[in-house]
Amino acid sequence: MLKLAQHARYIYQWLLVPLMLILIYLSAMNVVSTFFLLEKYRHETIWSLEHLNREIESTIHESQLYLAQASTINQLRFQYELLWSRLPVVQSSLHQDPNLKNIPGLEKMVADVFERVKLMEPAFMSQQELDTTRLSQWISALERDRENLTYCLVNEISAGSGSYSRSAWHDLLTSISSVGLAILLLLLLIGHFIYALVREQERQRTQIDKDSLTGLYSRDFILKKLNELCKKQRDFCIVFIDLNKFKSINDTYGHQAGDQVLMTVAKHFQTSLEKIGTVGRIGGDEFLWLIPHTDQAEISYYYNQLTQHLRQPLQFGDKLLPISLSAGAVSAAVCNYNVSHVLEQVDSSMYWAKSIQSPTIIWHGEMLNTVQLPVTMT
Amino acid sequence: MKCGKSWVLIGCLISVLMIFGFYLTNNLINPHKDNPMITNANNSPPTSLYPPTQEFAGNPDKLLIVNTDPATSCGSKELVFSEQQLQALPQKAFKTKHTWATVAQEFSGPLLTDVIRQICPQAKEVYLRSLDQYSVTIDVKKVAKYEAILALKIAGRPLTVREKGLIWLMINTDSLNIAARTLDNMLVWQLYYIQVLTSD
Repeated sequence: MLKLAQHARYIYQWLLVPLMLILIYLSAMNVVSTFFLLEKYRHETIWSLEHLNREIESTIHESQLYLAQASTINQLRFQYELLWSRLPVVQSSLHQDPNLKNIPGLEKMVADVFERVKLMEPAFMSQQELDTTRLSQWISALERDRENLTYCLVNEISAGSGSYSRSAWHDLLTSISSVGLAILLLLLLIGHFIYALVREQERQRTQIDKDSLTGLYSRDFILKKLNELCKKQRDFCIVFIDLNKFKSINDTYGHQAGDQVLMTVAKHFQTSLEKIGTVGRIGGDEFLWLIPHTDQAEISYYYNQLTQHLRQPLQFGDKLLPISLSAGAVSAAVCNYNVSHVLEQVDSSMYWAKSIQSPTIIWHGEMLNTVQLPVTMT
Repeated sequence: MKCGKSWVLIGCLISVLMIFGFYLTNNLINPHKDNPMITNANNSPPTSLYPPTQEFAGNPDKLLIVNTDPATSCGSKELVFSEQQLQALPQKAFKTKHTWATVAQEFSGPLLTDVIRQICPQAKEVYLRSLDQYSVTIDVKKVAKYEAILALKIAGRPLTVREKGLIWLMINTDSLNIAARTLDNMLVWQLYYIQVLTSD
């Protein structure tokens, strides 16, 4: 079941990015097609209005020729038909082009022109003689219409700042913003992945550097630090702390009790010892305390504080577990900053402390002095 | 999934996506690579003389003039079609929607290629002009597959000047699955003059 969930997560991670890419592509295509469509509409609109204007002009011209008796009624009628054929085209543009609706008064203007043209139909279609005054009035009204249309065409439609252009821009900007949104989503997704990766990396680093049971630093970390300090030849001290009779606690009270002891001891290390140094767990019940200076008095002071706190036995259920430590220390300068030397000497100091059951830290120098004493005495 | 396999999968997926993307983009940006219309680069109309429109004022005997440029292989010919002559040619009818109507309308008339073949079977480029001085140049071979007709009748009755007649070049965009508005420039209405510009 867990495997299925893992696979599902895997698939989800790997599919989301291509999905985002597709989304971006689709919205980009939307922008492109919107742009082309807007251009097409604009072209058509300008075309149909301009041609309407032209036909009105031709009609006026033909009427004037007729009035001057330089043209026949047939030709005038024909021109009238041509003018009429223009109007449905403009009206269909008005219906289909969404941006034309935003131009104030255009629809009414075109409707008025159409009405005016239709009004003359009976006069043109009848067999009677065409009334010349009526014709003259008609063409002067048409002239005004033409001027209005030209004004609208120039200022509202063709002009960049006209309401038509602005409305078209608005459409284009909407589709561009959808692309922007899709790209933003992709960036957010990628950011999320990067964040998850970094967090995972941090978690793994912590896992390596810390000991999972006690929360103290791990063996690898402490030894690495020791190597660094020796290489840099920094002055430091190292204290090897060992829990006394840990094995017997485990055997008598069980491993859970042993774990509890370790955790308690570690907590006290963190509160007392980590003030001046770094504590790491290098073995089952073995700890290493690295202090980056060499004030033995201060070190002993903090250690004694620790042992004071640990004087109380630990309550485990209904049993009382006594805790006692043995500690051996050495100063790095004495060992010439040689790592193996340091470890050897701090080891022997600790075992000496254990053997004499010392409640305080046994320094390497002390040990040597103490050891030599019986020799000189005999 | 092993490391190698997943990368191969990702690579395949991305390349499939890209190919698909290019294909779609191409179709969108060049919807009609084989558009029969020829646009003149220098934007000047052919230097042919076109007949004046006044003669066509509602004259049923003179509906369409078709002639050839003397430079073509068909020589210098001219044919004047009356309404009856155009009706005499094999007619084709279809119902289609177009940009200027909200419903589909039925058009019928002779095929454009038939009319051109009457005067010059090897025609390559033709010039069409309408009564309102709109003109286009078309490649005959490319337009053949669209089966354009010179529509004379709409819904059974004759096409009037008002309805963009008397001759309207119409294409069955519905059945040929052509996207709306892509071939609008070619649908010359109030057509009255065709000239063959070049021929094989």
